[in-house]
Amino acid sequence: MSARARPPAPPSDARRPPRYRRPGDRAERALRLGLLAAALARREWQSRYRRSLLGPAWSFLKPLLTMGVLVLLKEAVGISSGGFPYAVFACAAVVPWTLFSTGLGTAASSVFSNAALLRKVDAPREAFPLAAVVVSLIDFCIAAGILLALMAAHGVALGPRALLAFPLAALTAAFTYALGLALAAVGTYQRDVIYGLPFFIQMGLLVSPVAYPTSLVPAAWLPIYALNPMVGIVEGFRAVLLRDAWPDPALLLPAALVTALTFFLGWPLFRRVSPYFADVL
Amino acid sequence: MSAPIVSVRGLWKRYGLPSPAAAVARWLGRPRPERWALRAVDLELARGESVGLLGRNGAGKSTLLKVLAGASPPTHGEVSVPARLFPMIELNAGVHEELTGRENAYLLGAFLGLSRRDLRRRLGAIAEFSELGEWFDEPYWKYSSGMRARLGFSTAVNVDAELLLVDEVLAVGDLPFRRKCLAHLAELQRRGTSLLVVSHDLRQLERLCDRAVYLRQGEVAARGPCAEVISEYTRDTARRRTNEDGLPLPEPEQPVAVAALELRDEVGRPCACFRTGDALRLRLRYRSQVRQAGATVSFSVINDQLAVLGSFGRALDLEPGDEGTLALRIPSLPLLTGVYALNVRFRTREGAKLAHAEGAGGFEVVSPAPLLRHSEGGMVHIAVEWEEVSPPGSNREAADS
Repeated sequence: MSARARPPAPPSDARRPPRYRRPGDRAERALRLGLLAAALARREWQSRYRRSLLGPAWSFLKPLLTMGVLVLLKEAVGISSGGFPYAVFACAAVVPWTLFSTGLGTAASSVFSNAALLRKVDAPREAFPLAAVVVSLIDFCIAAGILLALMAAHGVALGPRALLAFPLAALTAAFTYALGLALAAVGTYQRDVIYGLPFFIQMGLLVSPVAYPTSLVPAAWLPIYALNPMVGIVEGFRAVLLRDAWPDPALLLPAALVTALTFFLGWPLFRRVSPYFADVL
Repeated sequence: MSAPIVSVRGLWKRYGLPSPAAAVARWLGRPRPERWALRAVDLELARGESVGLLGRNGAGKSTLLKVLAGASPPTHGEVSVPARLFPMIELNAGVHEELTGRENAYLLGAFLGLSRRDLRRRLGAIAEFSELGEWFDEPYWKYSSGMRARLGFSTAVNVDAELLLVDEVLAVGDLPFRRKCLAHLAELQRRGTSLLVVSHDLRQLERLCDRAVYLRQGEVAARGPCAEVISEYTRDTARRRTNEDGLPLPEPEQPVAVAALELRDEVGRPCACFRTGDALRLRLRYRSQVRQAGATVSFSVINDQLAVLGSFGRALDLEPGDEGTLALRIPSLPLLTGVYALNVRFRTREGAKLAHAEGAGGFEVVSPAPLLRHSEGGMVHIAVEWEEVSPPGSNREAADS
């Protein structure tokens, strides 16, 4: 019997961190991150509707259906919509909301839906949630067309401040990515996060002014309410698109701050745990 | 010599996130038992060199490849792979079920750092090599496992990788394709590609690699020239198979129990390693609980690929109680280099099972070099007698004179 002594424990005095070196410097890896996210997003877009009848029509069907539900709800309970046709009022919020909700859902699960790839290659893991958000942004652009058509049909004209919708969309995407990174980081190890996510997104719909205006929220609750970045974002979209007004800084500023905070917590967390993804997939 | 293409120093690998609880326990001086997938592994590959990795399941071979590919981080130690590598780690190039073979190859290529234009140029070569035909543009989820392997292999050999990590890839695919793959790997080696090959097919390993590393429970048990490491490995596995009393545990309900199977050489010394052409003596002791007239006993010789190379047996009458003995002699062992197992079976006259002892014995065979010098290998040694050897021209000279 080859009863050799078991090998020793690892050098406990080795303070040196493990190192894995491959060619390529920082800039190169950043460039690769972009290229890979683009390639992934393209593939995701191409493949997503391969086995579906309606195909990319789902990009606007999803917000359209959500809006339909809200319109029905409004018929039942009667919600103030600030003088705008309720359909337009709701649609202006549903479109960015859909960007957030689908983006977050796909970003959080992006790591294990790409497990086959992750197990094999040394690729910047940040590319996977990023690609998910990029795909949602494409959906968003298509859905925005529906919103514009709806506004035209109801005679709501766009003003010059409508251009602010672009930075607002960027903020939405940034918040989605930041939260998506954090959830993917934790959710890959604890699936409960992913399983529970749809429920929390539904809760999010209720605590964001999508179906109703923020003016319905009691003033005393507003500081806490505004900590949800989607409040500032959704109200911002309504302001710039429907009223040609500046977004309310009292809502937008907390949104931006919470987004930045989420990012500075989520990003390092993701960086720290993402190398081990392949170990648990 | 230029810088090595793979350099691994003091690599320890444990799967999963480094847990803070374990770190605290270690700091308190009460380390918990840890499951290491790799222990203090060192490895160096020069550019253009090919190395085989062998070891039993779970010995850490695939883990090592994953760490080299950068898919999984080392826990301790230094790993440097200054090369473009292609990881053929999970048999296939499949990264997305819904995408076609073409798109899968494209995406994988993008992840390996090839530019778009570069990739488009290579897709033709990949399609051609894979021989997938119109299947190349079918979605991946429809592929059979053989087709997946084809796609993976074709992608691997067409991306100009400097280092290929080959994990049992050649185990699937049909015979002509496998042959084509082997030929192509050899061609790549000639062009300076390095290979790190994991395979349980020892012959293949020997053919592809200059050196081999034998991993046992995460540590390097042997390294060196292929043939030596393989023989160390086969000796180890043979020992293991006959160890713990040298026997597989006979199932208690079997009416006949194999008590011992001894292998000895010509002069009667216990032996586990023979040379081609040696005599081998077998001695089987068994115990029967039943009375069976006209039962049969048979021995079969199995190679490392589970192919039955031959069997022999005889009729015998079984009596309950006492221990019976059977001894036989194989005058000239017709086997080539490899590791072999012996199965023993007892049956009734009607063919009903009385005892199956799988791997009741094991031995290794080494072929002497002169025997192999002019042969192309194979599984058994075919003894021949040359009857005429006349070089071209010799006949005419004979006629002229």
